[in-house]
Amino acid sequence: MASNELFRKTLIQVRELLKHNKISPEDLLTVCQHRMRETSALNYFTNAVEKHDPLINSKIDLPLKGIPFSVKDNFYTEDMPTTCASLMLENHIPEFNATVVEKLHAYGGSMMGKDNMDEFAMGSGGCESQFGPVRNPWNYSELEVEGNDDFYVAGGSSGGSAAAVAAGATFFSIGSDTGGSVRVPAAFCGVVGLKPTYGALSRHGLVPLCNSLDVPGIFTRSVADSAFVFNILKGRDINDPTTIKQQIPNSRVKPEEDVKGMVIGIPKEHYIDGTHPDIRAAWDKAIKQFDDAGATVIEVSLPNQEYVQPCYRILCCSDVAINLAKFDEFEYGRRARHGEFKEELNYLSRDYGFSEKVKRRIAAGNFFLLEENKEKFINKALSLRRMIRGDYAKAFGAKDSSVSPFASTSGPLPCDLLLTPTTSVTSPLHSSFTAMADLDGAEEQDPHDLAGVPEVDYHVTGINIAGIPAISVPVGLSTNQHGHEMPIGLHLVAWEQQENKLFRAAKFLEQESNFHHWVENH
Amino acid sequence: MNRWFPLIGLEIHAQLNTKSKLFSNASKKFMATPNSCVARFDASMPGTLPILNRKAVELAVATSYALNCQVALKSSFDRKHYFYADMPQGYQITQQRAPLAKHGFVDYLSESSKMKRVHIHQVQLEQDSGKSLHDEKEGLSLIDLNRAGVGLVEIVTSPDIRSSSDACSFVKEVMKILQYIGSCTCKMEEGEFRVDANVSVSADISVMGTRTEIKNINRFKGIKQAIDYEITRQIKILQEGGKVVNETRGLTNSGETVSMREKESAYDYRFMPDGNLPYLILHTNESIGKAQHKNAINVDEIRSNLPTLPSEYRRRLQNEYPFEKDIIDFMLENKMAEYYLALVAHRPQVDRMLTFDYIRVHLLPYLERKELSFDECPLKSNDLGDLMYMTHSYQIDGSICNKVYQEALDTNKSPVQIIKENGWYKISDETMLSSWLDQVLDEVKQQSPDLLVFPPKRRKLETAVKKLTSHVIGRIAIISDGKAHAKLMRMIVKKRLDMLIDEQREEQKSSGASS
Repeated sequence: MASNELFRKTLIQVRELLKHNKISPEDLLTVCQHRMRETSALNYFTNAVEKHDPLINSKIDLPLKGIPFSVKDNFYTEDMPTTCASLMLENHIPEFNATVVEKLHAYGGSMMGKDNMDEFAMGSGGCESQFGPVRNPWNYSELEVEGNDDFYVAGGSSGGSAAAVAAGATFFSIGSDTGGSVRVPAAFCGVVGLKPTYGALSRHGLVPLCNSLDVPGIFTRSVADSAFVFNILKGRDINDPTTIKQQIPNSRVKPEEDVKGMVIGIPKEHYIDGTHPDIRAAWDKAIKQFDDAGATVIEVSLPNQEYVQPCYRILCCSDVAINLAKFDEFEYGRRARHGEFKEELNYLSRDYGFSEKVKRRIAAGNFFLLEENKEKFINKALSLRRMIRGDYAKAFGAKDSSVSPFASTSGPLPCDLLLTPTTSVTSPLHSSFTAMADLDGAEEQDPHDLAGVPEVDYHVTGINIAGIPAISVPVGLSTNQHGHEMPIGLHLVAWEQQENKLFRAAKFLEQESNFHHWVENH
Repeated sequence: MNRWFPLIGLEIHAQLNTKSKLFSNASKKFMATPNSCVARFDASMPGTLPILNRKAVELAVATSYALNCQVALKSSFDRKHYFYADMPQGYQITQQRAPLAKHGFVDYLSESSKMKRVHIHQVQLEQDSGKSLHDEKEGLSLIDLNRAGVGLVEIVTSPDIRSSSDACSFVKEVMKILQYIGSCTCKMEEGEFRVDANVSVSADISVMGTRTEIKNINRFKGIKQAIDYEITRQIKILQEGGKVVNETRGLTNSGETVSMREKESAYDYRFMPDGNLPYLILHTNESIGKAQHKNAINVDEIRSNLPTLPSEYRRRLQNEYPFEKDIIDFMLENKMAEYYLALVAHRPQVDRMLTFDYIRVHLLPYLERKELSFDECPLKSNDLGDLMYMTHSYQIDGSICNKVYQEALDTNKSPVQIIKENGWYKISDETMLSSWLDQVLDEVKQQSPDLLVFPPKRRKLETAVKKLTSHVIGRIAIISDGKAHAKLMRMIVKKRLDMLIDEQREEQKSSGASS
């Protein structure tokens, strides 16, 4: 096999090749390392693994034996820096592996590096890393040829994880998804991004953003790969009390999937202004495909969708304020050189170690948490959360009285899945994203600004609030005003622990759309 | 002159008697090398998560039931934020919104032997903090995280208490309850049990005055000191027309309270639900079957397995004998009641006070020396009961009793067996003893009748009686082959000699009168 094509394969494909001894683990390693050098300008790693353990030639057929992967740099990796792309943790070397990392090692995977990300996972562009922004592989060389030093953003916050898989440096990667941080970059970079049910994967060793929303997610170049990695990583972890206690059944993806008899809900609140016409067309096309294949497509309503962002911002900022408290140079984080008293040291260290955006979120979080604001913000957000989850429970006909008084089974036809776009735009140029997300702080922001970046996170964040699984599948390309083709992602949502339904429909979309990951000049 | 009415509420922090901490597997040891009992989670290593200690929950549930509380089948954990160097997470995990238990009460005996009741507002699980140590000489602040994350129950009372002595009696009762159910060893000197006192005074009994909170009282004497000092201080302020400031105060070593910070500028703890901890779901006999995992906790089971509480022992002891309050307190404090009650149930004939004394003087010091509880005592209550019975019914001598007691402890043989093997039974039958006495007195009469003449000619009466007594008893010992019960025999001899002396005195009186 010509090794220069090997990186274009999917995980399942290379596993077959390895199984039949057509290639060796060393071949894979060499190819990926080569690919890493070729695409290093994309800046998807904060730290690359320099030395690889000699691959064991054991006869045991470990499911991931010799398969290169990478993990977002907010997962703890033993003896390897875990920076969260922050100066605060620049030299932080953990003494243990996150459970997902431990599992991937145990299953024989070969870690290539730590994925670059938005600092402490706050961001949706992948641009706010202290190690520089992640660049989207799509049209990167074209822009370079054109002499343009702008680039397309990879999406965030797991931008490096998406770009590494899209660039062919690894066969899969692990990100974390708190409000869309896996699905957004997956859509922007044209890969499959899975956000599992909250608690399906262990958070042990994941530096938290918002503890009740965080979940490790999976990037792959195919739906079958996604299911394969999900099966390996899911399950209870005694080190994480929020992991689901019941056994989660294995998900299987058939070579051809049909969706006959499935009920696909289209939430009407997700038709929003500013959606790119190509994305709208891709969505319509997918609806038709489901319909043609014998699925029932119905309109559903998620009436509290408009409260998703405020609810998310309040919960998230509050947790940020709390979770980052420990980075006070006393316990963790770097210590400022000067400063005599504890408070001064504390202030200087935190002032230096955190970026403006992080500081802004900490300030907002502490503001929300004030006793006098409790009713106005935290308690409102907590009840909104129940209402938002209730909307989804109703759409899926799920009995969820324990969590939501709004759920009922007597609604319209219960859906198996919901279908929306992942983002309303395709990956923007860095220059326009900066304006869109107000990264340069052009507009004065006050802590009440709870909007987020609607073009990017409108469709995805409610899923985290509801704690349910979703997947972003690349379905086509859109040509933008610069004449560049950028991938479009569609977003499938299921009720909790129904990842198998997600994979089935995602596989269907994949086979119908015939999306080609490897196009010319990419 | 106004009368002032103090009102006191307490918050008790008791370290749960578990091997490991509330949310980590680090061990909980007093005086361990600094920072040697610290798990990653206790050091707030990013990405580590709290794992709730099942034993701690069980003990907290048992505590709640023992305090007559209603246990919530669903409770939750919150984060209480403050920036202290010895609080590495930047917050303490506690139960603010939905605590483990509510609405309980404790009945206790006041110093004046009146039964009184304090209502328990709530019981919650929470973490202890680490410790900061300041080395003034070196100008260093050192942090010891050994205590960080140790499990506590916080017991919050309603402001039901009217005096410092009632507060002390109540705290003692709570300590006993926790010790009885084994949820806390309550060693204040090791910081296992700490009290915050909320104190206010008012001229109107139906109105609550402005209160102050005295934090972290960590010695028993301090409870009384702090409350008394605070009551006096507040009354003085009010009498002078001043206002009591709502503030947090600390207790100095000399027993004064000093201001720490004013509540007006109170710290905002910014409570927030802890997203890392799912709801704490407890089960009942009905719901346990539906529990999703085998570690589920059945509160009904805990409740029905609660050991007998001190108040119940107090009732039973009072039924047994009109003991004084101090004696009952002593028995309860030393966890002697169960042993004692079992003993007297087995041998109802024993002398109540003598038996209590024997346990207090002999057995208790032995158990303390060996660090054993009464449960673990090698001499079972039935056996000690037998020994006490045989002693009190003169089947054996007091000196033999001690010998048997010692041997029983050393050899694990039963006292009855030891006495039998050694032939230590004594004859206590009065007729038998009297006949031996007759026999010996006859001997004396024949051999040296002078000895029986009273008052004696050459000696003082006492000396003569003493000499005769020891002679007689010595002879009886020989005749009876040592089987005569010494104490009883001595009593009989004394009685007989007294009688003899009296008889002769009467005779002399009447003969003197006639001559």
